[in-house]
Amino acid sequence: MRMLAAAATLVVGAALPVLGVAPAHAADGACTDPTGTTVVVDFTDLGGKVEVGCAEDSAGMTGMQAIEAAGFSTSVVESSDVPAVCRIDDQPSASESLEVDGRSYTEKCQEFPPGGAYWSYYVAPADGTWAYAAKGADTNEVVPGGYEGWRFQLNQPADAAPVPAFDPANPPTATDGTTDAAEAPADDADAGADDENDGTSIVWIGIGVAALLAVAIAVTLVRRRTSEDV
Amino acid sequence: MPARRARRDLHPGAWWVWALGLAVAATRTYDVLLLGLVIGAASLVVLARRPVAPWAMSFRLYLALGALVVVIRVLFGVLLGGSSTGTVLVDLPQVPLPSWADGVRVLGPITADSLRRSFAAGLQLAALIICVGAANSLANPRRLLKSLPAALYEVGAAVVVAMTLFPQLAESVGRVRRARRLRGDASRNVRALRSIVIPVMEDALDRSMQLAASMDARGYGRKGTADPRARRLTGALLVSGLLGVCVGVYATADLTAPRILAAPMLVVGFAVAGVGFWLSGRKVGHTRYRPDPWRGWEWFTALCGVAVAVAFFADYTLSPVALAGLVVATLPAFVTPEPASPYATLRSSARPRTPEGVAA
Repeated sequence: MRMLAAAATLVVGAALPVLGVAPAHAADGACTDPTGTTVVVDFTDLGGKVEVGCAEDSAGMTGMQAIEAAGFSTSVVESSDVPAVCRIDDQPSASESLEVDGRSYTEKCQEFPPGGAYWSYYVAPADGTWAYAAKGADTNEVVPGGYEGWRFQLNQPADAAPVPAFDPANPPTATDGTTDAAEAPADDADAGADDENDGTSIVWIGIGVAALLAVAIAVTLVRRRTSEDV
Repeated sequence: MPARRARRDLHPGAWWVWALGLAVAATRTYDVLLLGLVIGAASLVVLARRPVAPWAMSFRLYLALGALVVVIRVLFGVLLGGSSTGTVLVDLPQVPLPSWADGVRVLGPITADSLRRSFAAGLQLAALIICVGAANSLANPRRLLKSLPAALYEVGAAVVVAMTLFPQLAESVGRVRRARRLRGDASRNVRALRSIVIPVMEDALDRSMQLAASMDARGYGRKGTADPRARRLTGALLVSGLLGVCVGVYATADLTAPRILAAPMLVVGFAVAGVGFWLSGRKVGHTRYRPDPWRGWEWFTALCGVAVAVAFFADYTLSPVALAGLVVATLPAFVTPEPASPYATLRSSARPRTPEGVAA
């Protein structure tokens, strides 16, 4: 299923390159200009591929700004004031059940993800090696010409979590089949629009319930006032 | 119009189950509209079904406390929760910090999204507080303590004494101040404070001596027939059972803990504590005067609370299921019997007297 979806993404992406909302992609995803920072997102543990995008003119950007500039979308944990990434490109989705430490887990993005299923964040200078980021992606400043790496860690040991499957010292070329340029698939955009329609109607129903509740509270208040006077 | 149902107070436990179900539902979501609806549902039921009693007047305080929590949470969100991405609302200057404070951001750009998240998190906490406040306003605390299991009897008695302390102190302060005004001493300085505090404390001491004497006279604090060995055994059972429950709850929440510590430990802990409760309860030779009945409406109210919790476990987003759960949670405001009115006895005793008065 996931393979099919990935294949569809590839086809659609190839057929409709203009529809991608990603602002800037080099041909193979990685930056060609040393003023940009290459963003690598490794979906391996979710059954996906390694996707690469480029945040151009990245001087002064934070890690969060760079991953968005490279054309990936992120969701953050709801309960946290400090942005903490729980989904990249809607993965793992809220309808997807993951097997974490022998138990089923669904990423709802409400609380911090468990140690067995989270997005890890790595940084690497140009021609360097991956290092686990010492700061959060929202405060870490990216290195122009360097690399930002994200890898989903599913049931990986905490002391030996794998780095993104992408060698910053030896970036693969466009003909290499292991990486894809990140793109926003057009079919996802359609699905998003449908969701939004459903979402607005339920919001209106919710507001209707809230209005009814307010009327009920007002009526109750008035009734109690008058009945207690008697 | 159908005949009005007989007024009666529901069992306090039913209100607590209902309110805790609503609170559990609130913990499941960060949706601002849903959380607002939870608070609204709790408020509606409180307004419709709270009795005319001192403890029922405290709901306004809980609402104010909830508002305070939201304000503080949003302020902290502004102080520490800036975000580098998203729609910037206010671009506050970021405070530069030394390198050992890496990763902490003080002030910085406030985005619509980070502000919404802070507000939602604050609103969730406020909803929890307001749900507990709803239970406190709807349920008579003394009646609730009366329905406690016999093993918790002594703790319950201590809690009742503690709970009546605050209203009594307030009453005592009012009385002393009134007496001072009557004597023409209306000064408001430090000496005045002393002349209020000392009589109030003396009053408190007098009252506690009186309370102790009257409790003693009524047989409170009697140990029953338990011998020391049996008492030690029940104590050990209770403590180890509750420890087991704690470990079980922790292991259930912690995904990395061994599974044997989760559900099995919880069950064993509850079983051991239950045996301890039963044993120590058997030793307490107290009877209960006019126990509160648990009838159909109690079941209904409690099930409404359980239903909303289950609905939010099924779907924590803004959805028909969650909305239906919330509508069910407001049902006790419309269909349960109204609380007994303290004026009822006045009215019923006043009515037969009037014709006699006219005849005389």
